[in-house]
Amino acid sequence: MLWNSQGSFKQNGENPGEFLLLAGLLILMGMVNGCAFVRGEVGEPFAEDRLQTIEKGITNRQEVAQQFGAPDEIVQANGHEIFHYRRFDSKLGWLLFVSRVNVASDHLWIFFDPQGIVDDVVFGNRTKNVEFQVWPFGE
Amino acid sequence: MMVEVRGKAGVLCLLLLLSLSGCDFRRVVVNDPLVIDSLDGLVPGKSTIQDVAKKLGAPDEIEEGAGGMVFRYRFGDSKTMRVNFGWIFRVFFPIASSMNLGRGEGVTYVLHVALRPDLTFDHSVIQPQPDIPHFGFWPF
Repeated sequence: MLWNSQGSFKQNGENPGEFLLLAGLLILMGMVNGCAFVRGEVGEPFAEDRLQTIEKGITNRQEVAQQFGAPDEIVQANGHEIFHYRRFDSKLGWLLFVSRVNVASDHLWIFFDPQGIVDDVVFGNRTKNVEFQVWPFGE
Repeated sequence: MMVEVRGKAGVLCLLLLLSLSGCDFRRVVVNDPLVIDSLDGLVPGKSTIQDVAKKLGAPDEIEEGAGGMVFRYRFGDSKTMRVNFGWIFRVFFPIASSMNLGRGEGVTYVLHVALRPDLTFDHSVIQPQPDIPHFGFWPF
């Protein structure tokens, strides 16, 4: 039986072309890959209010650790101890036979002076621009 | 006549979709492309660490440099293509082996920004634009 344009079923054999087309489409739908949208996040977003608690010349190492936890990395450079916190966000778009993954990272670098007081803060938020995209060609 | 043309077009679309289903094109892009113009306005000895951050954002890495430190920014782009020549046999057989040929190409674009001991901008090094990766399945 087939569904016709008037919204009712008709018996097999009335239109074999339509039956073949429908069967072909069903086979095709079963054989092609589907679609997927997947997101992966590593680390928590850096909340604006928590970032504002860091004050240069006032906040110490202990207070930073209380706000953000243990750093992912500690770097020694130019006499500074630098706490590094990072977050990653990735978005995968996949349709049939094309896919694209966009990955971006946020970094928070907190510079301490030799007394362990915050000397400078560098923060960059790139994850806000990450988009779901499927088309892998072009830019 | 019209039905015949539509039928042929339908068959062609079907064949195209079936043949493409044996391929896949994948791309992974890490961070935004680095733009050389974004360094305009940075003055050696005057621009501060915050000026650099406003122009370029926070770096991916910070390293000890000669007499100062180095900010390192990265952009990555990779493309992979795969063709499964065994896929078409699925049309005729319930079980068909995969016969894949595939290839991937990737580039990493790096920008170094050197800072002086007083944490002002010193100089930057940006590598020449690498060849953009291409899609291709031939691995040999």
